[in-house]
Amino acid sequence: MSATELPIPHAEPFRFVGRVEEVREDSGLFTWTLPRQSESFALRMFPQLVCIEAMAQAAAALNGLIGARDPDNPEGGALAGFDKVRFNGAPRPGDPLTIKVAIKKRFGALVMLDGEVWVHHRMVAQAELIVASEAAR
Amino acid sequence: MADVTIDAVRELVMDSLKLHDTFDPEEIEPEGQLFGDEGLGLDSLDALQLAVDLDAKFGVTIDEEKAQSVFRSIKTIADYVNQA
Repeated sequence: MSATELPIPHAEPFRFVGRVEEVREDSGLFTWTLPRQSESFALRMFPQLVCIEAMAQAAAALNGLIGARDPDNPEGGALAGFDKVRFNGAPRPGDPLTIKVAIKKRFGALVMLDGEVWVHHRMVAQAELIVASEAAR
Repeated sequence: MADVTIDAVRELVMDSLKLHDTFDPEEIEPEGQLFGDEGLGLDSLDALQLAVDLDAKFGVTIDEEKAQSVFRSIKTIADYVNQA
């Protein structure tokens, strides 16, 4: 599945999830490469914030991919909260990111997930995220 | 499991929802309402966090259907955990 088919509304240059590598019942694996040249102030100056947003987009995408009852109208949802954020360095322009998200708990229209961002074999960010499906908003 | 006390549940709720800066423990009465404007004002995000932390600490599963009755007060949470 290409990034443009994911059930999230984000578009370039604010789309931080690229290929879908794997989607299971309760977890997903996505990749994206931090652009080498970017005019985006946020991308250049706050790569750690990009990691948070990438995890949020991956979480919403996973929620939509596995939670959708109507394949023609999948629900991705929106970021409702994040906690327990840790950074271990920051990705640099050109770095390939692997974004992992795994569901911890479903609770009505809310889903809590663990997220991680990896660059090669190093985890650069992790967080606990809450995504609210459309029905909760 | 030994009976879970009201104090243990109150402590878990305060830790889980980071309420220590907002309330003193004695302000949270055992039968006081937790959710809604007449209670502590907790919301659905708090309910999700509580469900996750109660599972982690006491091994009880609380789904959305049970949540409204279980999360009514500190006492109803303790009762549910002790009956589980």
